[in-house]
Amino acid sequence: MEQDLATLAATVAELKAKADATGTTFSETFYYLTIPIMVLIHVGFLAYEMGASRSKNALASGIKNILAFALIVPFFYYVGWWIYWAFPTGLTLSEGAMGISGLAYANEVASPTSQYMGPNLDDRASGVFWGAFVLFAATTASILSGGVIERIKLTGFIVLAVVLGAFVWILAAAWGWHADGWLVSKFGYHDFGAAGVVHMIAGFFALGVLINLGPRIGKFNPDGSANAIPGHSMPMTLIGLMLIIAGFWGFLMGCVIVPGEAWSWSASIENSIYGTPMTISGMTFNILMGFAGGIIGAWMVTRDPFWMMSGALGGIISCAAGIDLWWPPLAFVIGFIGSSMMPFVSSFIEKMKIDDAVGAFAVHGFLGLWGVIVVGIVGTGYPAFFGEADVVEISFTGQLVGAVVMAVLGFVPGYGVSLLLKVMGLLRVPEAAEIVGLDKTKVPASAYPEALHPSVSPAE
Amino acid sequence: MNSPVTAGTWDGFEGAYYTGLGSTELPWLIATMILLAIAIWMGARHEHEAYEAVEEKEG
Repeated sequence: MEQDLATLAATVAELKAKADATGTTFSETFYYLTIPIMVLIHVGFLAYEMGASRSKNALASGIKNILAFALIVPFFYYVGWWIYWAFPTGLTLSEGAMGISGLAYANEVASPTSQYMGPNLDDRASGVFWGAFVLFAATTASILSGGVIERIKLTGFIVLAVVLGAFVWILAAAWGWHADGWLVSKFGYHDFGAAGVVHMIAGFFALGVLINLGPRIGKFNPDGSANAIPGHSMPMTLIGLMLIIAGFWGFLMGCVIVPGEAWSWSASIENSIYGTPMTISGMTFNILMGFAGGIIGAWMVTRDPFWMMSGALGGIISCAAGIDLWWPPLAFVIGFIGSSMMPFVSSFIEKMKIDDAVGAFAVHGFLGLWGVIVVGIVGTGYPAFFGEADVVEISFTGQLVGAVVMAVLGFVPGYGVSLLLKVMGLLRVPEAAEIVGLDKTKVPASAYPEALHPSVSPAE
Repeated sequence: MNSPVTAGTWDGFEGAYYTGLGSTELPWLIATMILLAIAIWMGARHEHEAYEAVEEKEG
């Protein structure tokens, strides 16, 4: 009998070790796979922005997009990941209640010379989490990239992309996404799918840049009316937008905390980044319903395939902050309303003489704002955080405070840094280069060597 | 750069195992920064010269 018990205990221990190993490999693989799925966002942005450019600028737009992605990676290694762990409690570098923030903790786990920032047999999480956050960061830069096509200097753009991707958005994430984030712990700010910390930040940053960058030549007439400057390939743009949607699944997957690991919130159920319980299954209802509502709402008000596909993005962004919570028909309504408003916001921006070439502010800035606020309208009263009793609740005030912080934190650096670049002559290409085309000016390759797509636009 | 796996076997080894552990992290980190600075400087110079050329040509 005693021997049987010993054998049983050994077998249980062996099975537990195998289950633990399988669980850890699952969680490592889970986040690893979010990365190639999110790369689809950048495949999409690449196609989208090249298609939205006139043929004379197609490759220059592509270079800008590729380079932003590449530059974000080392800068996020140097400082971005460290910022996320260092600044959740504000700008004081102090440790939060969870004990996973502040200067000492950031130096230990996220300094570029930390032993966790490379191959380490004791750490099967840092690399995949860092990688997923790099892809979030690159998404912010790509959002900026679309609005500024066809007239921004590459050097100026990469400075802006690095500032946004490796400094600004990740500070917002530290405040509004991290378990010790002051917006979370003090105001119950809820932004599961990054409507604020990614989309609002990037959209408002882009708005600040666009004000200093100015419109493309020929965009506005002397009487103030605007001309449409169509890109050279609407099909490429539409396919790009659909690829961004595909990538969003990886993005939202990366926002989930899987159960069962030492760093997990729970042993048995998925959680949001705030430790609140949720299911990937439930989120799936809401992504698809928001997506559908967004397309149909945009179709209703525009009949335009560009806005329909932007509406697909817009529908998901509208639902993103509370996509772990919505009743699916409500997700449809939120996406529908958001994407119905989006083209009018874009028209308003144009009336302000701001040339946002792809509607980046309307889609990401405005609908990110809508997404954050709508959680405060219909999601109030939910506990915003993990914990047994009396935890801070989601509220309209908390969401409003979060929205204001995201708007200011996005806009001010975008405006300030682009103004500095403008003063230094590093922001805008010369008029002659803009008229001739950026590809012919500086790209040692031709998008269409057989000249199948001559540019036709007011700025030609 | 010495291998951090000093026992002559991976058996029983734990922790970080990347090349240069504890000795050359900083030089390699600085090397990436220098390469980035050179690449960006050369890119900026190429862009500047390209704009000057087109402005001269287009008059």
